[in-house]
Amino acid sequence: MSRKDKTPKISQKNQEQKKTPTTQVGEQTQLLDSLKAAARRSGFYLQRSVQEGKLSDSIKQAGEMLNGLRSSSLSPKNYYDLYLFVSDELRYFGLLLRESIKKEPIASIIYRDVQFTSRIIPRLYLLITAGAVVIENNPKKTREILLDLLEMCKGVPHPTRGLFLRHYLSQMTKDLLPDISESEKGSKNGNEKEIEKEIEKEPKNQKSNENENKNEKKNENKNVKIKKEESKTENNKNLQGNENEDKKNNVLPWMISINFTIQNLIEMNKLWIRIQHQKLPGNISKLERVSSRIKLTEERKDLCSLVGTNLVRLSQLDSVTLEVYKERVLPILLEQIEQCGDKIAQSYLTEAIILVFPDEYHIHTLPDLFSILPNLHQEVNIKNIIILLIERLINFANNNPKSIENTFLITQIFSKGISSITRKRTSLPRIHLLSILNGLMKLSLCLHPQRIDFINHMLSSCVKSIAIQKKLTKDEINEILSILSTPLDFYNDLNILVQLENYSMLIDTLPNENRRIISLKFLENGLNTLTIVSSPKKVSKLLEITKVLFLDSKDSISENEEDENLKSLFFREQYTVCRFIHLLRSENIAKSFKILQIIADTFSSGGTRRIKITIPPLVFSALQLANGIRQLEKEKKKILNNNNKENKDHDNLEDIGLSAKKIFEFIHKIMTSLTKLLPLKSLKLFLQCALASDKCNFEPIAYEFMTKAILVYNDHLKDPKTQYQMINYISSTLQTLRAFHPDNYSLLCNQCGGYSAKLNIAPHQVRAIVTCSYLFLSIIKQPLNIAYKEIKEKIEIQDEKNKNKKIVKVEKVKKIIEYKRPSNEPVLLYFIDVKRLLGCISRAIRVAGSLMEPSLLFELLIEILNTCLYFFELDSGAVNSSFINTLLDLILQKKSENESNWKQLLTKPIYNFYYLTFKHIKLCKKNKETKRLFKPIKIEKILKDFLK
Amino acid sequence: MVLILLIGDIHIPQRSFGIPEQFKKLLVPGKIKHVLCTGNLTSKESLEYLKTLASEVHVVKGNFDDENLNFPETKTIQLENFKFGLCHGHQIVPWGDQKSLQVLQRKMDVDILVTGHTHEFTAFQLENKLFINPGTVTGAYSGFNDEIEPSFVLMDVKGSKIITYVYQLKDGDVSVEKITYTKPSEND
Repeated sequence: MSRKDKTPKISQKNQEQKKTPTTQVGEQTQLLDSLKAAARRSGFYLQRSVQEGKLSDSIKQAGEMLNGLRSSSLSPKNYYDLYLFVSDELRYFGLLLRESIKKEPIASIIYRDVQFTSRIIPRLYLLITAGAVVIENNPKKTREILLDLLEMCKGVPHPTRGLFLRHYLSQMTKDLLPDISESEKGSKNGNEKEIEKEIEKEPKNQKSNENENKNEKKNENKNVKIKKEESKTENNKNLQGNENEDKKNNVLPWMISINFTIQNLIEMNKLWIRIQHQKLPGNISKLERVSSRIKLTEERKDLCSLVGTNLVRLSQLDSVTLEVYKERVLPILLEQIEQCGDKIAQSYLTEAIILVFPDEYHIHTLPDLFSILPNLHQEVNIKNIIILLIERLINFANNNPKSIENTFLITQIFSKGISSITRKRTSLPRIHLLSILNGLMKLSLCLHPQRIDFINHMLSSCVKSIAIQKKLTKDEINEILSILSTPLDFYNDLNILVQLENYSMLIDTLPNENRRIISLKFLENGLNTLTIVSSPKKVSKLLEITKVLFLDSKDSISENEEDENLKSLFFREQYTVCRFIHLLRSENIAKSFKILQIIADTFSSGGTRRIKITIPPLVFSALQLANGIRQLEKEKKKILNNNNKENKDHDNLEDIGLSAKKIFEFIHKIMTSLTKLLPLKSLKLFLQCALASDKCNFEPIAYEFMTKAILVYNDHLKDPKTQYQMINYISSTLQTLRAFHPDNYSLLCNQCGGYSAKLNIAPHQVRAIVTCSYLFLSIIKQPLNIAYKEIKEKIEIQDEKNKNKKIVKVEKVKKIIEYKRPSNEPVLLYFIDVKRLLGCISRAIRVAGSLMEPSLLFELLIEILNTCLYFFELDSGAVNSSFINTLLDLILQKKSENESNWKQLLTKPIYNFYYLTFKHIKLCKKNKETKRLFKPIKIEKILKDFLK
Repeated sequence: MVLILLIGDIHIPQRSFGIPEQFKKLLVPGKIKHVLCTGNLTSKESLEYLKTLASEVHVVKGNFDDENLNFPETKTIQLENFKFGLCHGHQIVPWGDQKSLQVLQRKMDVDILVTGHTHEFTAFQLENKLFINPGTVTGAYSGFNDEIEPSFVLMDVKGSKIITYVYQLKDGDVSVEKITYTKPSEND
């Protein structure tokens, strides 16, 4: 149980103190200074008398010193200042009393002597000082003196003077209050029960009580008398009741402490409130009157801790156990708060109670606390109180996990309490209600995170609170954003978030830009936590929640908006959307496909500016899925081949009726709109689809995609550089494809060759044609061993169906040879057409030869030479040694033709390229494995030329 | 000692949601001096990320990079005693072919040729030249390679010696392999 030592301060301090007219301030300062000077003077004499041990002198001096506190002209703040000074000086008087009482037991004499001080304020201060010393010396007198002093303080009804006097009383007695001792603690429970009974019995009528209790005095404190010097005021009912009980229960001296403190608190609170209603001087203007009131209120707020000290005191008493607090302390405090009707006091005391008493106590008294809230002054900030309580409880729950037993009950009390507040307090601002609901949501998440229904209910309450009224303010929007972030940040799991049915409803209440902020945060949460959402239903809900990112709405920012910030925000959003969809997938193929369809449906309504960005990643997701299906089918075949039908861990593709073909149909569909919008991107995507469908061995589909790519090339690409890059890309893609029947492959090769030959810029043409030459010597070796196995498998499978097919195929590809590489790994040539290959090379040489610029001609010839060496080194028979020799001669010849400007024209990189190629040939001639092959290649002339 | 990061085929957001967390933890700013990126960043955010890792970022254009980004098709970079050649690799026929890569190496006249595109880490030496493909750092899908593991390469260059560290993500664990390469002295 933690007990706060610090006196709570009023939470909302008004920093800006209104200026009072300077004259008034000046007067105040003057007055304070003179009173302080007088007190300092008396204080000096007091100290001297104390040093000399003159008791009666010091009583006189102390009385003098205290005279300043009789002032009613000082502002509360200045009075506080003087009070601090005087009460500090009074310590010396206390010291002397303590000394005197040791010499002779004159406690009561001093007590009485002091009373001869004629003025009431000094007298009471001195009495309190003396009283404390007496108690200290003789604890048996505690009850008598405490009650006596409490009564006497009633003699000062002036708010400021009374308040400080009582504070002094509280300060002087703080260490003297009887408390339950360690040894008593064990038997406390028994005592508590006793009290409970007593409380139940306690009659309202005081007189009958007194009579009833008369005979029951048994203990040593029999002789205690209650002094009733001054008439009882109407407000002493409580104390009276307690007195009676005290008489009866002498075993429980600590009860006095509680009653004393509560009583003092109540009285101080009343005085404190009355400061507010003090009369102002009559001779000031209206404006001054207003500012004076404001200043008074501020100064009064500053005095709150005087009252609060009593609460701290109570919380420090060990005797204030949960039971005592619940039955004896809190009800009285709450009653006082409710009755006092003052907004400052109500706010302060309620918050102070929450702050000073242990959270455990609050948990057990929540309904009591909540019962008064609706009835507090309309201007009391209920939100602050509830939020404070929630924060305390969350903190407690976090520090003491599992210590709260009935968590549901707590949330329920809060829910009920809040709804009763909203019913009764019509002035509760919407923003406050939203903050309270946000707090409640946090509490619910802390106490029982598994109860998503609670959160959902609170979201619904938020929606309801918004539905009624007008446009949201900026603060309200921020609060709603915070409410929406609360469960998001807590769960960090979109799979849970999508179960909140009302989440999207609350988002919908926000303006467009805020919907976008929270939706983006939603997706980013998924990306940060890498939460995979694998259920199609959940994906649907997720897209519904964040729909502002996918779809235009009535309040969307218009498309023609030229604002750069808006544009970059839009791109950032779409970038996140694209990344995010890769998290939406399932281990189950059918579910994954369903998810893709859901996404596609949403995307397709997003308008062109979104489609351009969002469709490509969707295509790749689909391709990945097709890849997954293919792998699965491969595994299935393996299993069938092994007759191992027990293994059923994987999806049964026949059951779900899904083949990779469907995926390609799907891609085809979603790409329809893209071709015109983004021809270049579409072309690349079609090639990707061709690659994927080729891997699935879907020849017609792969063919279709290749044709589509070529069609886009033909219809949409106009820029020469792009044309060149893309035809190269088409050719090199085609070069890797394996599913085609050689006839179809051949047809596509023709198209590539045709478009390459049509390129407008000669070097582009040469290089594109050179690329095409590779199409006619297609080699599978990526990686070598796997490729080899795959092609074997393919042939074997075909064998089972039709034994002749293998032969046909082998004939068609003209030649399949196995070629031993240095690593002894087999390489398969898939398709070889020597005539067309050489046709490409010859054409490339011819076009290059027509170029007027020698350096470019040489560069291209050396590139062609390298390509030829590539084919030659494969020993495929496509390019033979004499072809290489001819080409080398041609290069030398072209060089000598331009000998005059050779050095000028041949820039260094081309020269190096030529030299390195020559070096490579030289190396191959030396190398063991290639020695034989390269023997016929003649390099002597080149060597001679280099040496020149 | 110079630390060089070889990285590429990032493909965010088209093919991947991001670089694996295990890699991000390793790739901390301040240690790497040069980044050699083989291309296909496919977003300016990826480029911004690379720029957080080192001040010197060299990028070549991949087949899926935006035309507006204006990366070169090839780039040569001299680092310590080595001349690096950088190229995405989709321009080479057949894709990833060792002999074709060798032609490019000769054309660019480099000691080390760094290429990407195949989404598969490879490193080999031919005629005393080093060929490295750092693979794809995100493990992005590829149309012609099935078993893709995210990977990147760190090179520690010191004089004429290079120690290459290959980081690969296998079943959620990062594996590191070390390859040492020394540049042969030129004497012919």
